[in-house]
Amino acid sequence: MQKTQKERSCGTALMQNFYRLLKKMDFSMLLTVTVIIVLGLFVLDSAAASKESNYVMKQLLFVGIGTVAVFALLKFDYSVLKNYPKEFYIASMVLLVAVLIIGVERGGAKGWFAIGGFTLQPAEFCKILMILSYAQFLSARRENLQTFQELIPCILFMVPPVLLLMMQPDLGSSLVFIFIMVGMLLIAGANRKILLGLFGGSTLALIIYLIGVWKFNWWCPLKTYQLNRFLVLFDPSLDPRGAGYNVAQSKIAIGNGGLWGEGLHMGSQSSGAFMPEQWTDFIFAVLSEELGFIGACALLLLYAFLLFRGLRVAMLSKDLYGALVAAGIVSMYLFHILENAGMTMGLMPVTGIPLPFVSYGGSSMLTNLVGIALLQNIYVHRQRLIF
Amino acid sequence: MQTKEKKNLEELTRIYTVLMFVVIGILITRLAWLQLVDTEVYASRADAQRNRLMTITATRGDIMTSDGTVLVTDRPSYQLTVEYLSMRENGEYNEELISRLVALVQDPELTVEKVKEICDANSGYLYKPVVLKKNLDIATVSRIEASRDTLPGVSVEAVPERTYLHGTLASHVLGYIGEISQSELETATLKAEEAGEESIYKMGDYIGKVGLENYYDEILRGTDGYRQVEVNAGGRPVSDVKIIEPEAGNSLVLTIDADLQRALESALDSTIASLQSQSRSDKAGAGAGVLLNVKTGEVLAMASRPEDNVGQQNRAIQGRYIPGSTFKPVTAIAALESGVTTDTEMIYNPGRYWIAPFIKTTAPVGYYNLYNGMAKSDNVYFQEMGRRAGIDNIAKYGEMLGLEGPTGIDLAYESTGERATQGLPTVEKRQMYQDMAAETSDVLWDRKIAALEEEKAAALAAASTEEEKKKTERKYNSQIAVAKSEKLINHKWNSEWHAADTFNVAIGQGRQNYTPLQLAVYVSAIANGGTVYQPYVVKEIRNNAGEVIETAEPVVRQTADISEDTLNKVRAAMCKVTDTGGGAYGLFANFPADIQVAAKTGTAQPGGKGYRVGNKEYYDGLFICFAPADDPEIAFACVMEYGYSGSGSAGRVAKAVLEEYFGLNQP
Repeated sequence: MQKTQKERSCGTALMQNFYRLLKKMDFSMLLTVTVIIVLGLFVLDSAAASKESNYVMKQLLFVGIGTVAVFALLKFDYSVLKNYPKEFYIASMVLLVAVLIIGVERGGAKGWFAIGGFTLQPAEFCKILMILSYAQFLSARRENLQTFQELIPCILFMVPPVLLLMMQPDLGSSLVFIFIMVGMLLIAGANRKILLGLFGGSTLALIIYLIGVWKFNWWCPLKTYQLNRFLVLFDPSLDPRGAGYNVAQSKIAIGNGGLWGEGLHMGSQSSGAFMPEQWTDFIFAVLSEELGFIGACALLLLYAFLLFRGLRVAMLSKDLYGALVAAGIVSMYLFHILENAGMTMGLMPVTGIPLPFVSYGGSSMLTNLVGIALLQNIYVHRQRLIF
Repeated sequence: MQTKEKKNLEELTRIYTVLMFVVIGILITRLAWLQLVDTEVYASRADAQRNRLMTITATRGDIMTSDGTVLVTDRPSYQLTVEYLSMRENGEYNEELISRLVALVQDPELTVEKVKEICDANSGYLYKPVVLKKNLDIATVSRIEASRDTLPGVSVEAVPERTYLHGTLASHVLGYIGEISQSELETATLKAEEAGEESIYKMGDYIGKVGLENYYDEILRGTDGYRQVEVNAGGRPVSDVKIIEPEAGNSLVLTIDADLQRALESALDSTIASLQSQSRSDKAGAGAGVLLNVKTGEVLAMASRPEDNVGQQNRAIQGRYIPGSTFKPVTAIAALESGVTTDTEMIYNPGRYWIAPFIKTTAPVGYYNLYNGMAKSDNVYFQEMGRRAGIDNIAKYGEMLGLEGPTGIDLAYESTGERATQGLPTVEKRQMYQDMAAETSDVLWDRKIAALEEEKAAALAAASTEEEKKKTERKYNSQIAVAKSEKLINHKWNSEWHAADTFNVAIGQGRQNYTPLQLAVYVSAIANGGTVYQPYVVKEIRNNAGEVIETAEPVVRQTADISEDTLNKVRAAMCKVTDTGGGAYGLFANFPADIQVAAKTGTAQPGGKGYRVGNKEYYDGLFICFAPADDPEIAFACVMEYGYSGSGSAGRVAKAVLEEYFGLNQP
């Protein structure tokens, strides 16, 4: 059957349009992500050497799906997403409530759906949904973010997901949402003094409270093992078989790596399985031991470059909505990096959140790649296309 | 977007970019601190927890008798060990893991609580494996090995286990091994340091505690090997880095003959059983016997009772007994050698000695010389001989025959007999004893005087009139004066040796005591012409390939300056003991004429309160002998606590042992 001339020219036009979009992509960002993913796969191969199933192949599957998403979503202007803030918010709430009811428990937190042979972590996808929803919410109030009263609804917006995550309990992810909120409020032009006072103040208050719990046995709703994940920051010798042990072991691994590292598969801490969940939560320690300061520092610099390009996307965005979505995604990455790497080095409390593009985990990999897709989408649509 | 808003966004993203770089910068700084500054610290920690030095316990050498019967050997066995840290989780015991382990072991004694208890007791050394159970059977080993992947920190180790192939045979000689104690470790380390060496003992080692296991520990133990292994977080070895193979210990070949040893032990047991059934010796239960080769000093058999606990003392070398009449040959030698009598001089025995304290004799009234005096064990004859020879001569010849000081046998913890109340009453011992006795007496009297002074002061205070006071003072002053003079009298009495003391020693009583081994050595010396050999238990040391690396040679400690003539007379006198009318007549009746046994019986009552119960008197029974009398080969000494008579208790043991030696017990 022959296509009509009109149809053919229309198809050609669409393809041309797609090529033009492709050419406008931020290739340096794509290259950076690719390098991080490849590096991550090598480290994963070493970290999960003791596991029977092939983690690298499973991880590659999600990389593939994610990559298709990056390019497939390029065609649609992200602006259409502006129209569904309520829907995204409700979808997030439904997912987070559902996981509390029908989810399965892993590592003490009820945060996974078991579908077929895979488990999915809805908290990861909700990060994107909430960013999209929150971006529209803030974009609509761009003029009204200067007083305390005006900021209150912006903060209340994030309270339900944070509380639902704490119920799992998944403290790490709830901190991610708070950090995303702060990052997006900053870019939205909220009153910086209030922001600093509010979040700087509450961080300080939290630290003082924890010291009180630690030294003076103040009241605390957390269970001892949960509390210890914070308290090891002050006293690494605390809980030597629990949180303290994990951090002590990961610090030994990182320190043992030295400048050049022990080489892939050669890390004694990593191959001796001294760290728990070393293919997810503690993969940074494996990388640091086996690739040394050179490798770990290179990874952090690659992240820095990625985030720098991400913030550039925000700056060049054609509208505030795009800038806010980009800022939300950058904030998500940044907090994951800070928390995950910081935890292994004893700078942050022990929580189980993955290192972007490196830790084993399909939900996390998909979410992070969708993040890249959105950043690219905002970037290629930075100017109204004329054709 | 409006230009103003655009500008504003640019500024905000720039701020964010700076913040982002600060965060990454902090992470890199921390990374540099850990990996570039503190890397040595962490690298050594990684090494420490990865590399584990594990001991491969060396197989301990065998101990076998002279006829090749292996008494002790090391057998491979399995033990269950756990790592303390692996049993813990979040600061508590991992109940689930422990109960799974307990279920696999299937030992009703090894409960979850018991495991925790053992772990608690060993929590001081976090990485040292804690032994939960020894001697695992093969079924248990395979059950545990099958689920080893789900049991972190649990391992089954093959270790040598000391095994006694013939039950308690020669147990007191063999001794036993046990985990080294803190004090033993310190002593060994100190000793090694003095010698400028490194101690071969370390925490957790097994060490010989008593007997041969102790004396020959360094020879038996071999050299432990080591395995340097790389372990994973569960403490399970993942690869061997280096192995130093252990070197098995050397074996000991004893002078002891298995058949003679068995004969001695069963004779001790059956004699004790029969003594217990008699009213006069119903407290019997302990004793010891030693059989020596008189020509070398080899110990052919040595046993001690009771034996229900190996840890109990070896009475053959540690028990000290008053010799009773078994000492009389010494008195006879002293008298003959000092020329104060001849063997045929007749001494009249009127029933008791004529000098205070007029000690009785059980021998019938009549005339006695060396021969019938020895045969009937006449106390009058030997008191007279003792008086004539004098205590110094008795002590001198006793010492020559090896009765003073330890024999030097190659067994641990032989009694040295160096205290004032032990061994022979030599000049030094007597002085020691007298000083001690005088001091004890002084303390006693000082206390009495002090009490009187106190009483006096109290009475004076209570007195109301001057008259009464004077009266009281007079009364107490005279009492105190009496006490003071009594103190002086007692002091003098206790500081002196008295004639009666000599009489007592001459008949084997009084202040003297010897180990059964010393008695055997002394009889050997009489038998062999005056040579005091150092008795020994180990004849050969063989390396782990079975080659002889050391052979023991007889060691002459001293030669008694006693004429052959005197010895012949005393030996002949001792032969009379087993002859018609002798104290042990009939005991060796079944022996052929060419195997004559020379012997001496003895009974003694130590001062202990167990020996006088109401009107009932208990006695230790002793027996010494050598055979054949014309060309002595062996000497035997035996003590039976509460045995009542010498020939009726220890003598029966001697008979059984000699029968075995001469092959007379064949049907």
